[in-house]
Amino acid sequence: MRSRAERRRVGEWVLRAALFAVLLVALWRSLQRTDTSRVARTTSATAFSKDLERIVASNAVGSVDLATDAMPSRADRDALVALRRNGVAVRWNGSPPPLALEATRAREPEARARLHIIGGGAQVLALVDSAGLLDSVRAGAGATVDAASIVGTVRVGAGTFAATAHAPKQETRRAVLVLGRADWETKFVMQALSEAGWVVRARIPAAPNVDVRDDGILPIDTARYDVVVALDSSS
Amino acid sequence: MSDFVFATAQYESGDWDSAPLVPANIIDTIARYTSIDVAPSGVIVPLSSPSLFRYPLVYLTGHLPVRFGPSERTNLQRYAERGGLLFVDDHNHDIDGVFHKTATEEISRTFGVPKPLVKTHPIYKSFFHFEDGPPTTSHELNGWGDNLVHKSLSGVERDGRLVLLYSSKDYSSEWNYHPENKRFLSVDNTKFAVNIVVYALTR
Repeated sequence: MRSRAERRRVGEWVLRAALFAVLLVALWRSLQRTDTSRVARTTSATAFSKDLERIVASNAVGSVDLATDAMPSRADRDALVALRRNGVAVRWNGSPPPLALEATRAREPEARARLHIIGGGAQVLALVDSAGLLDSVRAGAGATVDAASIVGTVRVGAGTFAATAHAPKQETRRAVLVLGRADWETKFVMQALSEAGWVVRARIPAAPNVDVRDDGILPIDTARYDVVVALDSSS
Repeated sequence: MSDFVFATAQYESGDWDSAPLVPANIIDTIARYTSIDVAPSGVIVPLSSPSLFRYPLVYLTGHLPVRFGPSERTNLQRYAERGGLLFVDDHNHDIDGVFHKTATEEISRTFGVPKPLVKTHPIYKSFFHFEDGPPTTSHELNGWGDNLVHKSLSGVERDGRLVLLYSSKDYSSEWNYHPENKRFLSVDNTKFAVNIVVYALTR
């Protein structure tokens, strides 16, 4: 059976632990304290840039409720991030339509731009770049548009919403080396590659110890060739 | 196996079949000197036929005037764009004869004006090396016909590749014999045909 002194010691530790817990809760609550004197500002994506000055000028704005009636511009999005990092809560509401745009480059030397669009439903979407209208498309579940060249940023809009993309830079293509026998298959592969815009070089055996080659005597390496096509005509 | 098939052009005007032994002779030559898989017999392909595109090299000759019909011309233009080589040889060996005049007119209308090929053109070293340009024929050296050696061949190029090779040297007469008779020749006079075929298959 514990002595009176031991019971008192246990009791002291329990009370200390309880007090410590109370202090922790108080500290936590003090950090979560909301300033009831700060107000919530309701605005919309289209009106945000006009309201921003008033929001920033006022110390009383504690939160911003943004209705997504349009796609906020990049500057507006940056401003919202800045407000949030400075303690102003940002809440979004609304249901913007799903719309996405990606721009890639074809692998061929011509490097046409390929634009992949998703969204917009059945409505006709206009694809524009910095120079003007590129094309119009009903994307729905997805559509791809090829463009010979695009200038600047590509944009596709659905009402007040838009998606933008930049196409990767064009890469310089090196030659293609074709290895094959002297037959029509090699010939037409070379021609097809030429028609696709590739610079074609060939090494073709025409007789024992006789190779027809137009790539000189330099070794095959990636400094000269992007692709080596070896045709197995024995199959 | 994708064999090389020697194709002779059949056109609507003139005598397209004036050199019937040339295909067999050239096929024999290709088989002798190269490792190219060559079909044992040639084919005849109409110039207006889509089957023209199966053959990377087409040989055209004759004695009489040549006129291409609209479909023949269109087909030949596409053939040239798609990588084919048309080899035209005047079977007359004369100056300003009817075949030469009409054929060069048709070639100019279809492909562009043919230009003389320099001695260093790749076709003269695509297999055998002909340092002096196109080999002369026995008709030129014997003084038959116009008693003149035609010093060069002419051609039309696209992107550095010959699409049309024109000859006034009468290789059709030179090569129009049975291949078994090669044994009577001290020098095989069909070697230049190998260059034409190899050029057509490798460019």
